[in-house]
Amino acid sequence: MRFWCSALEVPWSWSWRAYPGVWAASLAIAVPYLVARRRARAMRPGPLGPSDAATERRQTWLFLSGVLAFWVASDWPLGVLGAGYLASAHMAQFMLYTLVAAPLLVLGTPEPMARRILAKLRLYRVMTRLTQPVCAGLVFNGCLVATHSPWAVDTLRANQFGSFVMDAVWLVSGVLVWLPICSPLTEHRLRAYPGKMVYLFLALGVVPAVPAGFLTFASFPLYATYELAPRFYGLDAAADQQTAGLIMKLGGIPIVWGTIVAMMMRWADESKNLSPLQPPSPR
Amino acid sequence: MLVVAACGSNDEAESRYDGLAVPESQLKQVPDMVFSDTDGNDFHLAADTQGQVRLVYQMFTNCPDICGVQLAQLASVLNRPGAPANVAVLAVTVDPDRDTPEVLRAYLDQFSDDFVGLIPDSEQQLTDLQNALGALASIKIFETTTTETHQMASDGGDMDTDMDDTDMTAMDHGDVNYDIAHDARVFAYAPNGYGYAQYPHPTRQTQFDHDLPILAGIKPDAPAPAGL
Repeated sequence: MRFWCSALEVPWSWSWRAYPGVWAASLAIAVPYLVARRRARAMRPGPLGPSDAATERRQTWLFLSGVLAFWVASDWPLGVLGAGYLASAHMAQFMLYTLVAAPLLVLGTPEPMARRILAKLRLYRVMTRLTQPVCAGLVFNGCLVATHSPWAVDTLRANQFGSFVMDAVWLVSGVLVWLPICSPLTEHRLRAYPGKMVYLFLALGVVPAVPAGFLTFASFPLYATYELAPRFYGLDAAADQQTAGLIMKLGGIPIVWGTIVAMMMRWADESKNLSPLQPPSPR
Repeated sequence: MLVVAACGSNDEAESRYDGLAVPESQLKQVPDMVFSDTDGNDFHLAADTQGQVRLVYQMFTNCPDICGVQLAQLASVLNRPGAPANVAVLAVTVDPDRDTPEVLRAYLDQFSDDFVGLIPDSEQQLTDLQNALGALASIKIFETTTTETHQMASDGGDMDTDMDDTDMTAMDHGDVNYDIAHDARVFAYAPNGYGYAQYPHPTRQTQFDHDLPILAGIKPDAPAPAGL
């Protein structure tokens, strides 16, 4: 039994494999969250109002959906395929960690819980610095470029610990890059919508296109791990790598541009509500 | 790696090849042997490939991993624009009992229609080929309660190897399960007939792509040292 998905030198098979480390990591994220939620509910003097209760329910579902995305990206079969067989699966994992699991976890975290965690870990000042848009964007894209370099992939994917480190770096850097957009702490968020949109476009739309281009247009397979792996249904290593590049380049578009469009609509709504030309209310 | 040790008397920094360069003292010529091809015709390993780079690879169709990877690597490199045209991939099965001409052809066609599938007519011929290549003998390992090992050839030639360069495969053949361990090197012979380089698993496409034009550029009448 193996702890975490890493490259295997056996042909791919659809027979299920257990990765208890993945389950433990998923539980290590979900259980403390649910316990903290329960404690907070027990300590409240009275029942929540309908809107607060709806917010709490929504946050819980968002957070648990984030855990689910983390588990799907890490466990068999995607985790195993991404660790040792297909560059395209590796890229799908990256997208799931950074564009699905990370923002869902951030959106599902209530403000008091975030403040308590940062206070306990004495990370408030560090996070204030790290959530500066330039800093968050640089750290995320630095991690992106580093973890997609052939050296990093071939070294880290070869063993369980390295593979775990790579997945953890993706999740943490994914959380960081979303904090200026939707941090539970208002002071860590960008205030103006144009700033948020530009940040999102630059941090998640522009820089990833560079490694994606390398993958798509490289003359040869870049990663020995996937080039020399037993073939998955005969898929050619070069075609697999090109698919990985396309996933990186196009996979984020719906999420990044969907978020930008949603922000534009919200911005328009808020501008309309503040407009001095708006007719006065009847009362 | 024993292979590296065996082939390493050439200073690797001076080698022209990204693959394992064969020292001058160990150069061998392409075996002058006749096999059956997948159409049932005689195929002369040397005469029918004159003027070409010959990439001789021992494989078998039930091999689930290394054989497929090596053949896919060769197909990818040879399908690239600008790849030398005078290269013949000669895939010799080490499992002639199960690799009938039809089975072998269907398997190779997954990679390239141009790959030549060759079937030894006897175990002795396979042994002779392995000796001529300087390859490890292929070994059938029967999965029975008392492990029975049947060695198809005993002389590994003057080139040694370790388990990294062999391919072990479990398979089911009717009611008999057996593994085959075989030498997974691609033996590369230049158009002048000399085998200057070898490619164990794992070999990157970039290595093949670097070496094949060098091998293909050696003239058929060039003396042996010309390729070193």
